[in-house]
Amino acid sequence: MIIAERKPIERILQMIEPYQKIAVLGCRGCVAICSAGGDREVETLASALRLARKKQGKPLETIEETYVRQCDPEYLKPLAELKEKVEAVVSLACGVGVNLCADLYPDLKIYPGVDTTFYGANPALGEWEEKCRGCGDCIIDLTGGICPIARCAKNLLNGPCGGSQNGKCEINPDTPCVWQEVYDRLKARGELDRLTKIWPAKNWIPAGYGGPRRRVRPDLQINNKKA
Amino acid sequence: MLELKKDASLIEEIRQHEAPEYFTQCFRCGACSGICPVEKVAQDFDPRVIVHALLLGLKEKLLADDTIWKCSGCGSCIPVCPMDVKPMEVIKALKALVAEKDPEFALEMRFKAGRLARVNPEKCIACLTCVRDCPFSAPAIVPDGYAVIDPEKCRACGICVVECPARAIELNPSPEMAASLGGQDV
Ligand code: SF4
Ligand code: SF4
Ligand code: SF4
Ligand code: SF4
Ligand code: SF4
Repeated sequence: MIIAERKPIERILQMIEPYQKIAVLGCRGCVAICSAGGDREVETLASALRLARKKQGKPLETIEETYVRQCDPEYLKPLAELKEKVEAVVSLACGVGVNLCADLYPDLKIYPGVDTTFYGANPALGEWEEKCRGCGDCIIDLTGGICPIARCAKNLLNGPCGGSQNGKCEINPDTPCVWQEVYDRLKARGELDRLTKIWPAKNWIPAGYGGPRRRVRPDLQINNKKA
Repeated sequence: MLELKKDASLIEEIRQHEAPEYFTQCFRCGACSGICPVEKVAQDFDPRVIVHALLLGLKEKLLADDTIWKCSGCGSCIPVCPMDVKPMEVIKALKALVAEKDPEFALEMRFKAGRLARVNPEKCIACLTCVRDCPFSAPAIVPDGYAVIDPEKCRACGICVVECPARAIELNPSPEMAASLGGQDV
């Protein structure tokens, strides 16, 4: 899922400085699951902002809402009404949600309340780890299911580099060297010979060449009710 | 005048539900009520009155009311009773009797009294937070994709309620909680 992190409260206070009444808008998708922008964080951010503004002597009024998702226009319909009640909206959705809100409601003053950081897994409560960069041309069939692009500090496709020490990455002794992991995994699978073959150069075009990426399924578009 | 329906069969029924051996010996000294923390905060809750009502056979009142569900099960009343009545166990047996007759009603009463947490499936996003942080392993994600709390395991500690990022878990304030929060919102 998409992982995000709440922006420092000072930053958010700067963004909403001119306003007296704002909405804090959460999302029950990825950001809720990763504890950055669901109902609970909406509640805590809204009260933190009110407190901070009260201290500054410029009281702030907040409306707290959380939508099912902010990356589908259907779920953003109630925003048409909400935006009339406030001067600005702080969205705790990932950047996708904030962008879509901005696309759909050009007159809306919308601000991001989180930094969208990576695609990650949630191995345990309160921990998230990057696993994929969405490069668009997945090569982990070659590496035992482990991604060197997302998990190697140098994004090497022919690691490990000289900085691999006792299975750890030189940039941080807590970070496993992903190339050591790839090696161990392939060895256990009896597939070490993969590493002696020359891989074709990776195709980076799907990683973002030509502007924003789009995916289209014409078979699904046929029944699209959206005008 | 208030007319109370008595039903002596209640005593026999309670015996079938693991009621403690000597519960008929209560001589209403009130030691249990004196120590019971719930009695201090819930106006209608008093273990002595419950034991007495049972001995009088006030079946309808005991089983249909929400009073017995307010007991926190702390057990403070057990060691202080000179007659070894074990009021907590008596109340537990009464609850078991209700649960046997109408399990849904029993859960509803527990929920109402703030002794059981419940997930609203419409709001649950199946994030696993409650599954991972409940000290009693009560919540689990069902195949339909939302969390359900096992009433056998839940002790209404409220940890999951605070942690649920979707605010999907409901837990009424228990009598003690309501009292400690005073007039504040809960
Ligand atoms: S190779 Fe690309 S698509 Fe595959 S896991 Fe790594 S970053 Fe993600
Ligand atoms: S302490 Fe025992 S004997 Fe005294 S009122 Fe309570 S149950 Fe009855
Ligand atoms: S077990 Fe129940 S009746 Fe006994 S003291 Fe505790 S709350 Fe009161
Ligand atoms: S209230 Fe406490 S015991 Fe009950 S499910 Fe939640 S965390 Fe577990
Ligand atoms: S913490 Fe809340 S949203 Fe997450 S699984 Fe439990 S009930 Fe559902």
